[in-house]
Formats: sequence, structure tokens, C-alpha cells
Amino acid sequence: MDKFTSVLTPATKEASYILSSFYIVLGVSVIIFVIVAGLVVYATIRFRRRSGREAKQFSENFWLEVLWISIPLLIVAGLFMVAVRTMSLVNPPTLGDTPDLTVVAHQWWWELHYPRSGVTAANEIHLPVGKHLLLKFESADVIHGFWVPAFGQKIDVIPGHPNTMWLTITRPGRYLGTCSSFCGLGHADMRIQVFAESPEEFKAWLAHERQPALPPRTVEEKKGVQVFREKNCINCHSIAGLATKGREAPDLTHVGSRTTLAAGTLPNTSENLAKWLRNPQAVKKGTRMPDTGLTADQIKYLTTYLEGLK
Amino acid sequence: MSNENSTSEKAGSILEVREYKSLLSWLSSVDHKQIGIMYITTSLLFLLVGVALAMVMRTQLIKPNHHWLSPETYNQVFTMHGTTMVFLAVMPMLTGFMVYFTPLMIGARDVSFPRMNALAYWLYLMGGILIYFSFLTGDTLHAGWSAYAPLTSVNYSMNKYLVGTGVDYWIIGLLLTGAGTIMTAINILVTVVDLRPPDMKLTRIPLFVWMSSINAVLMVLALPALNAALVMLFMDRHLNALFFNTSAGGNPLLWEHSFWFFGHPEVYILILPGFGIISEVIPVFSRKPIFGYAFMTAATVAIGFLSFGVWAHHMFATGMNFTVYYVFALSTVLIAVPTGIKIFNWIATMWGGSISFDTAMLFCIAFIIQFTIGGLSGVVFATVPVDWELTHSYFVVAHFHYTLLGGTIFTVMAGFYYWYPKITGRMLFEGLGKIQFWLMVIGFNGTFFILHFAGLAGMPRRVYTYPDLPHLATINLISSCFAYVLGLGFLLFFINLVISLFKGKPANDNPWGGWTLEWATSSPPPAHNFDRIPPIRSIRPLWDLEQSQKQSGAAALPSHGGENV
Repeated sequence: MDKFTSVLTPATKEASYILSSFYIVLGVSVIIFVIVAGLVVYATIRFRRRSGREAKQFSENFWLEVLWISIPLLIVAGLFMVAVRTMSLVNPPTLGDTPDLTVVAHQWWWELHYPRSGVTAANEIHLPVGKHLLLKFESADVIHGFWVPAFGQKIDVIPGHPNTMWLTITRPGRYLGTCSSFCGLGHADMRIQVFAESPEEFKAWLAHERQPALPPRTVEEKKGVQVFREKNCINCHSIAGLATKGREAPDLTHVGSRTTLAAGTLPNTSENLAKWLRNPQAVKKGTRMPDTGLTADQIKYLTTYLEGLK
Repeated sequence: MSNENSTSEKAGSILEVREYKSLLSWLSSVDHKQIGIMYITTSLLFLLVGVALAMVMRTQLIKPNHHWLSPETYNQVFTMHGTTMVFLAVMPMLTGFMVYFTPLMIGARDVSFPRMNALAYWLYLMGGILIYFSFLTGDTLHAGWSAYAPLTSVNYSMNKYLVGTGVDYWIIGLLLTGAGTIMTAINILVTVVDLRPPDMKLTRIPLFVWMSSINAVLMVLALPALNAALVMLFMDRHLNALFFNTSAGGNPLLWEHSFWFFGHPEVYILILPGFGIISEVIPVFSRKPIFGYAFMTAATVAIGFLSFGVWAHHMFATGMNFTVYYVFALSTVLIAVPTGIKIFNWIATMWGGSISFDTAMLFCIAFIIQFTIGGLSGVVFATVPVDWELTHSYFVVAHFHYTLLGGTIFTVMAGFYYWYPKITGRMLFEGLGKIQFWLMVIGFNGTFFILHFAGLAGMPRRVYTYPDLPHLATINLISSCFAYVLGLGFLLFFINLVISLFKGKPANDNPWGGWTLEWATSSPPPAHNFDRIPPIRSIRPLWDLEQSQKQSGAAALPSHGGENV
């Protein structure tokens, strides 16, 4: 699947509106720049010092001043109207609608809730194409920022100040994004992936996510569950069907079906998961995940169990 | 002392001035010229550090997934780069020019409160040292120069060794420099109001002084907002005051509002004296009076006024009410109008002139073009939905470097090449200056123009490294390579400043044929500034003098209207 990351390849209606107002402002700016730079270059060449020519000592012209006050005034008034129009197109009032997705930002990962279906996930967002979606943003700690460049606007995610955003995704695909407001050590490693799918695929995904975790089948997986319980993973992480108290860290119910680990830091493979469990700080500096002091065997069991949670 | 032999008495270079030879004369000085020089020299040292930090940042960002620096180190480096450049390099450098030249340009003996002037400098120096001292604790502030709450609270600012002492050093250091800045601003204002000779009417004040005075008004009104925010933060950290703590009813947006209520006037504080320098240099090198003096002054007042009504445009992505957005979007686009007035008046000043391309003038010309780019990308951000898209990205980094580096730093360079002879009695090397100019123009535009595209490609600012996404590797590689060219330009500048002091061509009193009063005294000026002040009939007293001498053929200063000081 494509990985659209650029502002210039919009994947939502809202992003297209914003991009067209960007192009309007850009066009006006380029024209103004060409005029100003042209005048400067012309003046420097035409009026360079030459023998036999004295500088003319004029220093004011009222109507000229009026001209270059009024024309910019008209231009900025026009640009303001562009801004106002685009704003209401992009973010109409929410009128107390239930959000389709609530994103809770943590240092340094994303907690995801789909209020309509009760699904909880982390870091990898699935959304349907073609629907007018309302996203709500909350922060569990400091100020973060939600930015998927192909979706247009970004929004600050502020503790005690929930924000919303409307989206109508127009093209299916995998879209990358990132935390945009500096939030501390792990800021650069707080990435977002959005899988925009057809409504049917999305429904299927929700149904899958709503299932509790697969029970352990092999001996190794059972030992993995034991490690999960005994080594305090259980205090922060939840696995539906096993333990649901932990809220501090990503929900692991279907961790095996995700494509990346640690908020987009690593591709999700057994080797990478083992590496992550062995020394979280070496993979993602600052992460709140403690070094749990697992032995090589314990890591093997836990990895086998978690990777099996498809 | 008799007036006639003042020129024969003057020292050839600042190094030969007897009063300046002992260290004690500097430590105990209340002379605005010495304090101005100390301001400028100290700020140059901080500028050197700030440039070095920038080189470190560009080296870290030279390729994707680069782990040369840890995020801890990089976060401290970018925070200190911003803090240094804004508070310790550019603002005090402009303040230094204001302190040195305001009295000279209005024909005054010194500033109104010389002792307070000295105190302000020493507060700035001590504040700067305190902020840098936190490097020794291994825990400098690492939350960005805007230090958003609650990242600076005790809970989130600690690393594994310490409870974020860097934040405390930063707070106290900024409170000290901030207090100093307010003192200097009051000093400049009172000096301009109170110490002008009787015939220096408001309509005859040089534009640099006008813009410095309006700048001083901004300083007096804006810095207290920062100081209040800093005190609140300090109380939060040490007295559990909960101003910014959401769980106890506080609000982190309070910090953003307080900070930007200071922060946006601050960006005009960082450019207005620069506008002043440009408004002095362009006329002299075009051999014409400034075009539209009254409109230039009025535009500066308008910018100063509007600058207090635009702060929330830094917060367009915080999810505020649409009405708030409309107000701030409107005030923000409006500020483009007075800025446009300035640009067009500078061009009109060049129009019909006889322009010589000395280094100072080259920097002015590049400034006009680069600042126009920075201004226009500012209008892009004033368009609220586009701001939603591009804020917090490298597009913003490119935008404000076009205004602060391509803008302010270029004006300061023009100021150095223009006034260095007056301050030191030596000329800066022009050849070296022109090489520096081209290195800086090429290096600056090469580094920052392309960063607009990094923002469009989806690169957020303040990341220690970035994934290998399309275009990012190429863009950053190009940007970093040009950054080294820019760094070389800065290096040549520092070399030029030092060697010109010893080997530079001796400067006469008025090497550029300037028309404002600072050129009516010796280079460097004597301790009492002026033996005699020519009559002031217009904004160009020395031009008037020249014309009357041409007419009368007399060489001496006319006795009428001249004033002994």
C-alpha cells in the first residue's frame, strides 16, 4: 500500500480545501515577491553609482504612499475571506456529536477508542473511507500534536482541553503521521499510522478488534502468559480476556496484528519485540516502559505469546 | 577644552583611547559607549555559541535515522539555540546598538540614567551566564525556547539524574536579563524624550532612534508578561502553585497565552531596531534622504500597536473559538500593511539614487528581498487553515529564520559594516566583507529555502531524527551542506571583526558621508561625545551643513544655532 506523507498529496476533502487556499496564498505571495524583488533588482542596476549623475533629492509622494497602503489592504482583506471560508468548510461545528474516534495522547504513544463500537487499540488507526468522521483528542500528560500531513490540519492535544477535528478520507491507503508538538524525550519516536479502508474492511477490522485475546495454546504461550502476569506487565498493559486493569500503556489484545512496535519505532517482528523487551531504553530513549529484567527464556515465551495475539 | 583642536586630539583607534585601557574602566563604566560595546561584544560571543549549536543541529539532521546525538542532547541543543539567539544574542546586540547610538544620534552626552544602564548590562551578562551554567549540571532546559507547560513542571522535566534544575536556571536567568532589558528600554525612552537638543524636533529624529524608541515601548510592555509567566512557573515548581496543572484546575494554555503575549511583540523587538539600521544605511549609500519619513514612523507605530494584538496566531492549532481565530487572523494580516509600507519606502529611497555597493548596502539589499519572503510566508500562516496544516512543521522553521536570520541578522551585519568605523576608528575589511556577504546569502538561502519543502513533505520541527520518508533525506542533506557555508560566512565575520581592530584601515570621522549626528564627532567619539553640535534643521543635519558650506564657501561650523555641550 502507498505511504502518503506529504501535505501536497491530500487524502481528505478537508486537506484539499486547505491545499487550495494554500495555493491561493502562495500564488498571491509569488506575484508580490516578483514585484518587490523586480523593483529591488531594477533599482540596484538602474541607479548604481555612475560618474556624472547625481542622486535626486526627492523624499515624499503622498499618493504613492496611499497606493501602497490601499492595495495591500485589499489583498489582505481578500486573503482573510479565503481563510474564513476555508475554516468553516474544514471544521463545521460539532453540535455535541459522538466522536467516531477518540485519541488519547500519552508520552509517547497514542491510545485509541472507538466509542461507537467500544474498541480500544493503540498507535495504528483504522478509519473508513468516504465518511464524515469526527475525531476527538485528549492528552493524558503534556501537550502533544496530532498530524497526518495528507489529512490536512493538525491539532494540538492539550491536557484538560479536548479538541476535535473533522475528516472525510477520499482515498484508501496507509498514511503516516507524527506527533507535531514537542512533548519530551520520545517526541521524534511518537509516530502515527492510519489505515484508510473501505467501510466493509473497516467493519471487519472493528469486529476482529472487538474479540477478546486468543487464549494461549502451546506450552510456550502459556509460559508467556505467566511471565506477563508475574513480571508486572499486567500493571500497565491490558489484554482483553486476560487482564484489563492496566491503562498506562498500550492495549495488547491484538498486538500481534499490528505492523509496528513502540509507536512506529520498529517493524513488528519477533526479533524486534525481543529486542524491545530486552532493553526498552535502547530502542526508544525515554520510554516509560521499565526494564523488567527478563531472562532470555522469559523473553522468548513472552514474545511467542504476544506475537500470537493476532 | 577648546573646540578647535578636538580633531587633532582624537585617537586613531579605540585601542589607543587612554580611558579604555584599564580593565577597571570597563568594569566600572557608566559610559553609554563602553556599555554599548560590552553589550555588543557579549552578544557576539553568545551569537558564536548559538551558531555553533546550529551547526551541531544541522549535522545531526544531515541524514535520516542518525543517532550521533541522543534525543536528550539534541533537545537541549535546540532549546539553547533558540534561547541563546533570542535572549542572549540578537536582542542584546540590538540593545547594544541602541545604547551606543541613541545618544550620539540625538546629540546627547549620554543616556538619562547611566548607572542604570550599567546595571542593565551586568544583569544581562549574569543572566546569560546563569542560563549557560545549567550545562554544567548536565541538565539544561530541554523543552524548547517557548518552554510549554506542563513539560516544564516538576513531573515532566526530570531526567534520570535531576529534577529539571535546568528549568530553574532558565527561569532565573531570563528574569535577570528581562529586568535588564526593561531598564534599558526605560533609559532609551527617557533619553529620547528628555535629552534632545532644543532644535531636534520630533520630526527630525533619525529613523533608527524612532524605531529604537518604539522598540523600547514594546520592551517595557511585553517583557513584564514574560516575567509574570516565569514567576508563575517558578511558583508552580517550588511552591506547588498549580497555575498550569490541569488535574488541579490549572491550565497549560495560560502559559501559552502569557508567553506569546510577550513572544509576539518580542519578534518585533527583534526586528524594529534592524529596520532602523536599514533606514539609516540605505539613504547614505543611495545618497538620498529616506523616502516617506512620516509614513515610515507611522508604520512603525502601527506595527508596535498591532504587535500586541496578534499573539494568539501562535496558537491557531490549540482549538480555540472561531471568533478568536477571526480576530487574530485579521490583526495578523493587517500587520503586513505597515511592513509593506516600509519595504516600498526603502525601495523608493533607492529609486533615483546613486547607489554604491559597499558591504553594508549589500546586506540591506539582500535583507529587503529575504525579509519579503519571510513576510509573505507569515501571511501564509495568517491564513488560519493553512496554519493548521503547516504550523509546528519545518515550514515554520524556514519562515522565522527568513525574518530573524535573513532579516534581523542581515540588518545587524549592515549595522556592523556601517558603524564599526565609528565605534573603533578602524574600517572593516571590505573585500573580506563581500566574501562574507556572498557566503551568507548563498548559505542562508540554501539552508532555509529548501526547509519550506521539508515542512510540506511532513517533517515536524524539534525532532532529533526523522524516518527515511520520501524527499526528507535529500532536503536535509542539501540544507545541512549549505548550513556549513553559512557557518563559514559567520566565521569570516568574526575574523574580520578581530583583525580589523588591529589591521583595519584607519577611519576618518565620516567615512561613508553619513548625515546624522554620530558622524559629526570623531571616530571613536570622545568620552563627552560632542565638542559642538551642528544646527539641526532636518533629519540630515550634516547634509544641511554641507549645503550651507557649499553656498558660503566657509569651512567652519556656523556659529548660529550650534550648541556647546
